[in-house]
Amino acid sequence: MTKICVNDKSYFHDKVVEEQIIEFTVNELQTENILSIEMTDKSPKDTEVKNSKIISDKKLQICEIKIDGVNIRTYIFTGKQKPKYHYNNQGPEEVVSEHLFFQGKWELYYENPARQFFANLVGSKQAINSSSKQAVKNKYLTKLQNLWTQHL
Amino acid sequence: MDVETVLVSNRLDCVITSLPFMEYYLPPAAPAVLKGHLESKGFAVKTLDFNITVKETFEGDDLPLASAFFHENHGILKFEKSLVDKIHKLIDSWVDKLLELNPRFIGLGVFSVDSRKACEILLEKLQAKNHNSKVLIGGMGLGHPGLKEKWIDSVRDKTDYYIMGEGELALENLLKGNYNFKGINGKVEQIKDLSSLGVADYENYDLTSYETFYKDKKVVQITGSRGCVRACTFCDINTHWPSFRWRSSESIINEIKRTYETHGIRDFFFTDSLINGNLKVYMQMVEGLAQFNYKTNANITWGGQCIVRKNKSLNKDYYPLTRDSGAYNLALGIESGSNDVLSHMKKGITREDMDACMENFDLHDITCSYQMIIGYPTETEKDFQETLDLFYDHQKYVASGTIHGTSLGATMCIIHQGIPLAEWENKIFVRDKSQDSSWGWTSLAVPSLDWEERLRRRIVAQEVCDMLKWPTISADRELGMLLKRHESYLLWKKDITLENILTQPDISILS
Repeated sequence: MTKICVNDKSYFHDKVVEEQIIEFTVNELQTENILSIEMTDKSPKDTEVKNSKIISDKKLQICEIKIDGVNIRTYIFTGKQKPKYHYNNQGPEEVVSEHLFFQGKWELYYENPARQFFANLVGSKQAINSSSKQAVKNKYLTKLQNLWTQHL
Repeated sequence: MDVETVLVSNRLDCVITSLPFMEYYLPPAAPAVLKGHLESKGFAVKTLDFNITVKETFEGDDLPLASAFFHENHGILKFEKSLVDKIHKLIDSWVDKLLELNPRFIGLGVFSVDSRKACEILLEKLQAKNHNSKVLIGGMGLGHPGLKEKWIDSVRDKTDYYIMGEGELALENLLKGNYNFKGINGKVEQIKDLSSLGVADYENYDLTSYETFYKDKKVVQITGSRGCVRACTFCDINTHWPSFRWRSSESIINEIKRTYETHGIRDFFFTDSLINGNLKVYMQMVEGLAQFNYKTNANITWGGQCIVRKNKSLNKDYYPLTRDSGAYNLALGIESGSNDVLSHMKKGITREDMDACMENFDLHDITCSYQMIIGYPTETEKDFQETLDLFYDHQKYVASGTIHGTSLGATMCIIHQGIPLAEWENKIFVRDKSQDSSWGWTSLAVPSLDWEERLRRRIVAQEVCDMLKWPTISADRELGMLLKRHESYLLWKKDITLENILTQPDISILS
């Protein structure tokens, strides 16, 4: 079973078989949001081991996330999972991956409006958005705005 | 080789320069292309990029104004004396450099009308010096014989030769002493077989100097075709290259492979007006490059201008192979979000085609940037709003990283002689007597659309893009240039008399 929540409100809780597209609408709009995805029913029995090798397992892979139509691509890797391991010291406390092998929430932070949030994030890496270039651009834009307004 | 060449064999045959203003993103292709070709014929050639020295000298606050100094403008432009002095000092250093090299020929590249001012000043300074190099000029900025305006005449007394059009064969013959070759002091015939030319040589450029959107990458330019398969009303490509000519995909792939294997350069930028003009050659090229990328760890990337294609004309591999071949930040001439404007421009595509194309780019992880024209003569307020709608609707592709940004332009539809739109004078627009191609026209189709209205729309478009976090490419320089252009317009307007303005023509001819 897979559970998908936004700000702890569940929007999907069902079996995911093979590749599946899950779509839902979040009506409660908050600025700051946490999207969480987790497997809720994995137990040690789901991992079949033979000769110290895993021969079958239950896992979840997040292939793609679109929020408000935006394919967030590598932003997926800002998401983190705190796995609930089957045994003590089975792995790191926090995992950055699109693969979930254990129970435990995988959480991703984003803000609304989502398009604005991601555009800002992606655009901030562009050379034109460096603070020095923005300062020059804004200086001339303001001068033009003033000249144009005065002229009316 | 002729006698002259033999006698001066120790002397550099030619120095080819590029002049401001050109964008500072990439090393200029034309001098490198000419160098490559001429050296393949046995000549010793050096290239100098004077354009990039403007960026190096004025980086920071002064760069937009220093760039604006070189731009074509028919009005009165006022610049700080200190800035002008610094520019003249820079040009003096160019002269010193050229004379120090003492080549047989000094070739000045006039890439567009925006390189004319630099060329005029440099020619004047060269003429004042004692030297025995022959001076020639060439490039699209010279115009072409069909134009009423003959800029070439104004500098003819300071030059020995000029070449209009593709320079490889004409320059080769000039260096050989075949002065009667067609195209020397005239218009060259279009080269039929691009695959037969030498390979561009970027050896003399410091590739780290350029302000690439390809951060930490060394990018060189490559030419796959010349001319265009479309005839957009705002573009003069077809007057320079009446026929669309292309290189074989094999020859392009070989040049890329050779450059990678010999220089380790993985990133390329096509100088073509459009990369995907010949779909058959394009598909062969992307398949070949994709195969090369699959088989090696070269990770070749390439960018350049390409056209939005209607989905029905594409096969299923078009987008996957475009991605796998290394397509990166393709420059799309989107121009407008209005179907009416696109139709008048003869773009051959609609807003719906753009939407479908962008959905595929997003799906296949192909990055791109937009080039827009704000204030086209038939652009109504509704059309303009549709362009703003496009920014809203496609913001999601900016957010996903598919769109790297947009250029909003600094001219708001320049109408200079030689573009098809110029033939609509007195039909859809009227010129005033300032002769300025940017602010010197008013629409007849949309009577309120004069320079002031175009400027307003440009400012609004900037504000909307800023608000939506669309990166606006070169906005710092473009707005600096716009400011100077607008100041020049205001000065002209202050002294306006009835003689400055043409009488309104009969608009009954408009349907």
